[in-house]
Amino acid sequence: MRPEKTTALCVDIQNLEYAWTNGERALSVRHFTIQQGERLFLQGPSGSGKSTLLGVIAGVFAPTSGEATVLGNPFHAMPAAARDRVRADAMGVVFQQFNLVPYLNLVENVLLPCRFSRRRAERVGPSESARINKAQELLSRLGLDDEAQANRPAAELSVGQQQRVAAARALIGSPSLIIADEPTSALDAETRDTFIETLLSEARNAAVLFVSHDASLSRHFDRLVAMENINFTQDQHVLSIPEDALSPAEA
Amino acid sequence: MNLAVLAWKSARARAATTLLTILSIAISTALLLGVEKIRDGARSSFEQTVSGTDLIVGARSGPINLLLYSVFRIGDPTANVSWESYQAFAQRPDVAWTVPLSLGDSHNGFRVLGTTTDYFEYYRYGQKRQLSFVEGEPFADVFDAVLGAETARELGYVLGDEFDISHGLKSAAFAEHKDRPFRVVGVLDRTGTPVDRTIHVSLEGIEAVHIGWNNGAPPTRRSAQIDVSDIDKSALQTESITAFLTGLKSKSAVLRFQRDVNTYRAEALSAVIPGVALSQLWRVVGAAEQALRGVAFFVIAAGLTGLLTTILTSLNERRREIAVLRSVGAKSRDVFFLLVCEATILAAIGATIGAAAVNLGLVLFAHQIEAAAGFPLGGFGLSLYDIYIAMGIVFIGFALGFLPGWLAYRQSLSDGLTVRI
Repeated sequence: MRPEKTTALCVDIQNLEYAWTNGERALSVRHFTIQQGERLFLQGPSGSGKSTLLGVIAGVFAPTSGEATVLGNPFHAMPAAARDRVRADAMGVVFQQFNLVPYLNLVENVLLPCRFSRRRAERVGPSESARINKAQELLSRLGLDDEAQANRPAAELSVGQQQRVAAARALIGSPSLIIADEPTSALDAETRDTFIETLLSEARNAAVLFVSHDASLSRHFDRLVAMENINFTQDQHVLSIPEDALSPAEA
Repeated sequence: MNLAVLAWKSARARAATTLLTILSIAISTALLLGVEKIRDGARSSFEQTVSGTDLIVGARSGPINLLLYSVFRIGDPTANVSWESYQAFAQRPDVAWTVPLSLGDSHNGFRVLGTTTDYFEYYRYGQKRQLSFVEGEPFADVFDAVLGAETARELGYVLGDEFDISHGLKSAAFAEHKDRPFRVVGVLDRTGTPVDRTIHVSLEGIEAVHIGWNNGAPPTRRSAQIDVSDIDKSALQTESITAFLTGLKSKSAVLRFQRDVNTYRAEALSAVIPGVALSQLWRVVGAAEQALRGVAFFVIAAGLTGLLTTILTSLNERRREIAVLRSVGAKSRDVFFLLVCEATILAAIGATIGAAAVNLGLVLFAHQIEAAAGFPLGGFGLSLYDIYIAMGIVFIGFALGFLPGWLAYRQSLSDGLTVRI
C-alpha cells in the first residue's frame, strides 16, 4: 500500500519531548509505536497531551527533542513543508467536530486532500471525474448515498452526517495512517458504534490511531494505550495551557 | 490555481461582506479614475479657452493679470490701450486680424464686453472652434447685444428682451444707465469658456453708455443725463479699449510682434502669448484640482483599508476552516497564500468594476457630463493610465493581504490540528 518505503512501524517515537515556546513541557514520551495496520485506542482525559501528541504524529508540530518517525519519515529532522507533504500524501484526520469546510460541497470536502497531494489524487483516480465518482462511492458506502446530498453545501448536514463525510475524507486515496481525535464524542451511543465499525472496516490496511476519553469504546481496537502511561511530564498542570503559559513567552 | 479557487469560494461564502468590500474598492477606483478624466478635460479645456489667437495686447502688466481680465473677465485692467496705439498695431502688414475688447460694464453680475463683429469671426476656443449662434445674429446697432449661453439661461432672456447695463460689476454699487436700453439680438452656443457668461455689445454701444460719463474712464460721480434719442450714433468714437486679440499672418512673426509691443514707446503695453500665459495660470488654478486628486487617493486608501478590515475580521471565524485545510495537508505557506489570494482577488474585481464603470459611464453620459461641466472630456475608453491605476490597486491589495496572511500563518502554527473555540 505504500510502495516507496517499507518499515515495520507506522509510528515510532523515541524519547520525544515537546515544549511550548515558553519552555514548559507538554509532552515527554520515551517510547511509543504503532504497527502498520494496527488499530490503536489512545485514552486520556483532556489536558493529558493527546492533542499535542497527535500534532507531532501528524507533522504539524515539530518535536523539541527526540525522534518521531512516521511512515518511515524522520519528522524530527524534516522541515515543516515536507512533513505537511507526508500528511497530505498518506494520512487522514478526523476531528471531534467542525470537520468540514462550509463553503465546499460534500464531494469537494472529501476530495480536499487531493488538492494538496498529486500522489494521493492519482491514487484516487486518473481524472477529476473518476475522483468524483470515487468520492461519491465512498460517501454512499458510509450511508450518504443520496446523489443530491453530494452537491449540498457541507454546512447543511447534521453532526452525524458531517462526521461521516469527514471519515470519507480521511479514507479517500487509501492513506497509511488515520488519526481520529474524539470523532464520536458529538454522536449518540448508537451511531457511535456504527461510526467506529464503518471507519475501521473502510480503513482496511491503514493503521488507525483513535483517541477518546471514553474507555468503553476500546473494545473495537487491537490495543489500548493510556496517555498517562506514556506521557511523563512532571508538571501536569501546565498541560491545561495557554493564557498564563503563553504570556511570558510573548514578553 | 487550487488556492485561488479555494480563496474565491471562501470569499463567496461570505457574500455580503465580500460584495460590500468589492463595491467600496470599485467606487474608490471609479472616483480616482473619474477625477483624473475630469482633470484632464478641465486642463485641456482651460488651456484652450482661447485658441487661434497669437497674442493678447493690453496695458503693461503681468501676463496672468492681462489674461485674467481680457479672457476670463476677472479683475480690472490697470490702464487702457489708446485707440491710436491699437490702430498702429492693427495696421501692421504682418497682422492678419485684430479684435478689440472693451470691458468695465456689467449687467446683473455679467460682464459686458464691447467689441466688433470680428469677434464672432476670429475668436476661437477649444480645438480652434468658432463661436456659433443658437439663435439670432451678431449685433448691428449701437444698442444690440449678443448673450453668452449661460447669461441667457440664467437671466432668462430671449431675443428682443431689453435690459440696462451699469458701470462696474455690482449693479447696486453704481448707478444704472436706465435710459440706455440694450436689446438682445443673438444668443451664442455653449463654449465652456468665459464667453458663456458675457454680454457682447458693439464698441459704439459702450461709448453710448458713457456719454456724459467723463470719457469712459471709471467715474465715481454722476454727470448730466443725456437722452438716447439725442445720441448721434455715427459720431460715437471709441477713444480707448481694454485690450485686443491679434492673429498674425505668420507664426514666425509672433516673437517679433511681442517684442515690438513690449518696447512700444508711445504707450506702456504688454503682449502675451495665450498658451504660455494659460499654462502659467493653470499652475495656480490647478492647485484645487491637485487637492481633488489627493482626496481621491485617500478614498482609495479607505477602500483598501476596508478590504484589510474585512479579511482580518473573518480570520477568527476561519480558524476551524484553516485547521481543516492544514489537516488535509495544507502547508502553513498555503494558508498564507490563501489569504493573499483572497485580498488580491477582491482588489482585482473591485478595480476592474470601478474602471469599467467609469469608462462605461463616460460613454453613456458623455453628453450630459459635457453639458454640465462645460468642457469636452477627452480620452474615452480605457487609457493606459487607467490600467496602471487599476494594476496599482490590485498590487496594493496583494501587498495588504500579507498582513492577514501572516497572522493566519502564525495562527495555524500554534493551533496545530485542533482549534478550541
